Amino acid sequence: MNLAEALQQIRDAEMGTPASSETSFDLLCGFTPLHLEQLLKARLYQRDLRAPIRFRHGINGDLTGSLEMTCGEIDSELSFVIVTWEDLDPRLGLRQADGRPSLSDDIFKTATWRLRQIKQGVAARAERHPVILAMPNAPALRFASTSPSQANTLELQLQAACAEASLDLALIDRVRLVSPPQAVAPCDHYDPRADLRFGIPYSVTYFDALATNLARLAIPMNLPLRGLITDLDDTFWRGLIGEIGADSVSWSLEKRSHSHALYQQLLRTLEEMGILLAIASKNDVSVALEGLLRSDCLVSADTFYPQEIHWNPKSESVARILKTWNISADAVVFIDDSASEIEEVQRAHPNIHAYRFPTGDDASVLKLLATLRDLFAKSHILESDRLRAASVRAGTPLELDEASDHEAFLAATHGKLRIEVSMEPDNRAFELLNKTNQFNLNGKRLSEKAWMDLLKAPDIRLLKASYEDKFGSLGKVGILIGRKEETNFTVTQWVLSCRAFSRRIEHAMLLALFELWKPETLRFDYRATERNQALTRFLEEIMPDKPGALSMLRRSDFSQACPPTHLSVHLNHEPS
Amino acid sequence: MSQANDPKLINCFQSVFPELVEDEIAKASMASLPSWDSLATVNLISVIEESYQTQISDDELDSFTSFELIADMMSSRIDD
Repeated sequence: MNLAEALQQIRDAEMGTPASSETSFDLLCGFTPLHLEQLLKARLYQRDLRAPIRFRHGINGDLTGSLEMTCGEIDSELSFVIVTWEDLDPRLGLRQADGRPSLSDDIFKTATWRLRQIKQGVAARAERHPVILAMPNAPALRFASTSPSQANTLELQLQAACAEASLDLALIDRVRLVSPPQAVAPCDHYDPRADLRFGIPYSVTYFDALATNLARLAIPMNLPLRGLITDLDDTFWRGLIGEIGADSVSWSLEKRSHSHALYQQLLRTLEEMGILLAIASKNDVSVALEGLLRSDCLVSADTFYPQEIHWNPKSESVARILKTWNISADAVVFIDDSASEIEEVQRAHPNIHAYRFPTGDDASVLKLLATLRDLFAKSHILESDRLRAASVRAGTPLELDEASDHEAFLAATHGKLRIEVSMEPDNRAFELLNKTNQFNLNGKRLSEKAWMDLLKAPDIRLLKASYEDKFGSLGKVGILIGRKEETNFTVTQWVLSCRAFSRRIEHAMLLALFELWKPETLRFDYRATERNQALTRFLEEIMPDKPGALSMLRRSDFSQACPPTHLSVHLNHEPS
Repeated sequence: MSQANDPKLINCFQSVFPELVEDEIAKASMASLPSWDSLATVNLISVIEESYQTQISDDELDSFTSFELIADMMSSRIDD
């Protein structure tokens, strides 16, 4: 995107939008932020940020001072902090460049001192709201006594100090470090003319690449996908196993099929991240299993669940897998080497993310793996992710609604529900609120800043429900947020993981709410969405009237409608 | 020949000053347009450089006070 395109994007996005609904971001840097601000704004609008964006800047030329500035009456959603070498010592920039060897120690000392200040400033900001941070990248020195071809000691020291500071900062909750843009060659980063004329050190090309990465971290377009369905022949391994046999399919350097080993490595990584993995392959099951059970296979065969290995259409296999996982097609990737299989699956499941495995084209395979890494990327891996995948593989009963004797079944599962009343920040709770669709009271999503503010609000109550039964633990599965009023409790947000449906956890959460805060009535800030039919059905079951905005439920009505939960419930907090 | 009617130059102005209609652009100047500040000048220079695939020299920077002067400056480049 060039500047003219960015300005056009901004103009289109802001046309007719009321200024009252603006979103504020802090953009802190030591240079003139003009071009970066415009490109970043345009990239943020591209990521469906609708409200007009307003950037607040710090003190011109003083990054550390800007970091210390207080937020005023209304805090920003987040801070973008861009650190350049000049911020660590002006002598590292073009405008005040000084590369005399006698100054090396002093420059290094100043830079490490400034890095400490930046670390403190960023950490303090992260207490208030998320911080997206770009640290300086090579090269650091404009002039030095060494040849440009030789690594300079001061430059190496500066880079090491910066790397150490980056690592410390990356470990702070709510600080996200942006990767240096890969698409722009380092020689194209700087724009010396613009730096000397206007104090804008980088080229538009570099700023745009940086803005793209900053916007992606600030507003993830989609939450990470949750499952991957893979073909076997010429995808998981090279060759058609039914024709050449299990011993001859390959994924190795020797057989020139190492790209399949890399794909298997990626699947192994996804497994550890808690991504659901399944197979959809047209093969005889006994033949395919011989390949999957080979000792040199990088992914254990039991990692895949379900395994749809037969000769029926793959669209049917995918439908069964989605039903087993209880997730929708738009949260799943389908990988196959055959374009016709992809088309057949996409016709039946238009929202699935389908990619062709480019067998035999190593460069294209690497591009595909990079795409998959991006689609499944998570900033944190939570224990609950692993637990959910493990519970699917363990064969947790998946069709409870269809069980013939549901009451007896629930009683036999020995379900235990732990309900916490806690306002502590919690990544899993935040993730659940923002990714759950089916059992979701109103589909409202929260920014990290709004979530942090909510946790500090005095009248807000937050219930977190964790579940386990004889099949294993599902971890944290339910979040309920609301306001306690005199004799009423208004539920403003409520989500339940789809893995936890049909276990009466929703009933137990409401029972706990009545017990904790003794309201006579509950009001639900309900809104029908395209996908919250599960929540709607539940409300229809327990409420005397059809659910609508701020529907009310009396304690007495719920007592009559609530079936036995068969759950052992542990409440960890006394009502306030 | 002046570049005053050059659609490329008019587009550059429209990018930086979206509030101007086409008729107003020809009369636009730093003195008459409150939004034409130093940052808008930097933007205008950058957008013109981008659009014309050229570099504005230090001497030419002085023209960036009105549409008319910029159009004359761009046309003198072509004449040269």
